Amino acid sequence: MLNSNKKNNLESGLNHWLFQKVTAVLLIPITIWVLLKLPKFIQLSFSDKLSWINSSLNLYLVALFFIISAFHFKLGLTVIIEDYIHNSIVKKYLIIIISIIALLIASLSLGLCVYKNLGG
Amino acid sequence: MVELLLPKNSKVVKGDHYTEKGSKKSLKTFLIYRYDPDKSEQPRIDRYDVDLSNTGPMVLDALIKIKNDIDPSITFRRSCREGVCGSCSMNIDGTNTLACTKYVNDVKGDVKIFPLPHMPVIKDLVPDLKDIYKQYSSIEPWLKTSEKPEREIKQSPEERKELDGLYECIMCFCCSTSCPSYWWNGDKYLGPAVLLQAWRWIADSRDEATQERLDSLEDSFKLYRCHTIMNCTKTCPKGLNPAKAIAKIKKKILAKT
Repeated sequence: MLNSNKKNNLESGLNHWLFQKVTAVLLIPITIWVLLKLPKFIQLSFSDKLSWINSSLNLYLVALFFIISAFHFKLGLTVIIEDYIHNSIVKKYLIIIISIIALLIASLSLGLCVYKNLGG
Repeated sequence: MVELLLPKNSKVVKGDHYTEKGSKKSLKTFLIYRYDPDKSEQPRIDRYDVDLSNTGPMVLDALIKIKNDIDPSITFRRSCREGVCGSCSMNIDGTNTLACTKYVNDVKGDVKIFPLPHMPVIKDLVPDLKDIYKQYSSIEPWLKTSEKPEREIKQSPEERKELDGLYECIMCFCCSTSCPSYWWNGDKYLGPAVLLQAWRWIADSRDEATQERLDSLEDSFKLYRCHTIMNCTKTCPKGLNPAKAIAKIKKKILAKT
């Protein structure tokens, strides 16, 4: 009999593959937006930078960029680690470390949006 | 951890030099990988200057000539000599192909011949394919039906057409052994040759185990280690497209869930 590999959602090969493609497509327009804004943003003074990011649209788009990038980064790096690191313990911990980094970036971005919405 | 040092037998040394009598024009140089794991010697590259004026045009003809007339110790697989058995697959001039369908004259300069990459070597140009055959049997490459009809199960011309580009595969494993993803994870990733065969049975209108087959492939290693590098399609000596077959499996799994 053929072995079935029914696993939970996160370990499923299909979901990993699908989310990687979806986040990649989502990143195309938002990265173009970031790249278009970046040269001007760098030249602003610190207080101008703060007020730029304080505009709701800018904040939400930047947060979205970081959240999707973090997810894409986690998925992509997991594949690279699984490809090249064959020691199962090292592999496991490296994936945990990059997951924590991705989670920190995403939750920080989300937290800033919530903070802004609460009137901070 | 990442293996930073290569094993001892990865260092290939210079070997012997054999020259046939003949005019300089008709001599072609073959550089051939020689290794016997049962001996303690390092792998070596032997050099053969072969007179091609009285032999066939293919690399396999030259190899047979070398074995017959120059060095009988050289070991390689061959059988049909017309590209249908897949025995003589090897790395010629940097590309995995069949020695019997590769013209010597298509190679500029010296003809470098190595066994299929990243496979254990049994001897010289003979790779050990037992693991890849095990992977092939794991996809259960046979027709699964609930009924046992007395006559053949008929297909429409359109249904039959789905198998074109799949049934022609001769299992020479040029594709799997050209795939970097298969090199790094060949124990878990099935590789393009086996996945093309898996698709051959999924695409077969007569087969009733489609869902079961798709479920067994839905695994981050068995199927999704394919990163569409496309070496498989580039190297296939039969002009098939394993990468497309793998993409079709991924799409079918997506559509079925």
